[in-house]
Amino acid sequence: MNPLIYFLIFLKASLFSTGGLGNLPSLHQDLLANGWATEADFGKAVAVGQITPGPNGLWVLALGYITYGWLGVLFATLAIIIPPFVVLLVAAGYQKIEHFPAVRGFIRGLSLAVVGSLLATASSLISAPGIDWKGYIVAALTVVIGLTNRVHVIFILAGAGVAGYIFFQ
Amino acid sequence: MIVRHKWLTDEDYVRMWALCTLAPGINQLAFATLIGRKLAGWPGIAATLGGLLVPSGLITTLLTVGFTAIQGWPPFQAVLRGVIPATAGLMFMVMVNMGRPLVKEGFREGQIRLIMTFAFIVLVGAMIGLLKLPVIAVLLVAAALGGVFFKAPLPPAKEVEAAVEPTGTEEEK
Repeated sequence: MNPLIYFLIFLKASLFSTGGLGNLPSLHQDLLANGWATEADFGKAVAVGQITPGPNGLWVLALGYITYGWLGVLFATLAIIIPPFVVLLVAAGYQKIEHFPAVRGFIRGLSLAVVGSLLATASSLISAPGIDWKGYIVAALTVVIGLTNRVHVIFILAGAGVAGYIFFQ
Repeated sequence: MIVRHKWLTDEDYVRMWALCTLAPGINQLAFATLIGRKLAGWPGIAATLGGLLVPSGLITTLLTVGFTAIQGWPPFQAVLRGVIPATAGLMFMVMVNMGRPLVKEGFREGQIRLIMTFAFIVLVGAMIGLLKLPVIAVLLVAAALGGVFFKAPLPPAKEVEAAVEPTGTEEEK
């Protein structure tokens, strides 16, 4: 594993994305292509990120540890600390450009593309080897229950864990 | 922070948050950066970012360490086989939640914008998922195309609907 490339993959993903999971599709593509992570690694990292307190974007620290140990945590941390500083530039320049219609269109196109990229990543994760019809049911129930906004994610994941224990033990 | 310490006004808060949704990376970290700078300059940024990152980052990392240590244990593997598909479900959920306001916006602006909205999502999904094109390149191209196609703010939905489909539909409501 090349540490510099590993770090740049994380930095690039965070620099060109927004929101906690926006960096997932890019990381997913690059780390899988290099053979540095598996589909399941992403599942584990996202699960840890969801059950711990704080911004859910910290899931990348879990991904760093799973794929590259403590060095991975260090790189992932640096990669998520640097991009938010761009907000200082945005704060300085945005007032000058926010009225251009093209700027709003640009951001809208980007947001739509992030949604599309998550669609691709989630589809890839669900079609990973080892996930059978029982897994599809768990995933479908997660979506349905999650979208009601009535049950906290921690309880959904706990329920999925119990289901896994019963189905696969 | 607004209510208890009066460090920020409501207006500051809303304006800062709007900027953060435009900045790359984790929005909360960008928000912490702006607040830190406003309150105490660079030392303020160090304090707010550190306060946000250190405790939760440590918990996340330690949990992962524990998690990795027991992942070979068969009962835990069974649990994971349930949890991993659930995280895929969560991703679909995040996608729906992010997409919903965008689809609503397209819906308000009429059929053409609505179709364009879905076309953007599906085409980007296919380019990344099926054609395996580089994610960042696809995002940037989509943003540039968004700048072109979503540029002119359309007239209110009613007029657009009338122009596109003279009979009108329920969408107008």
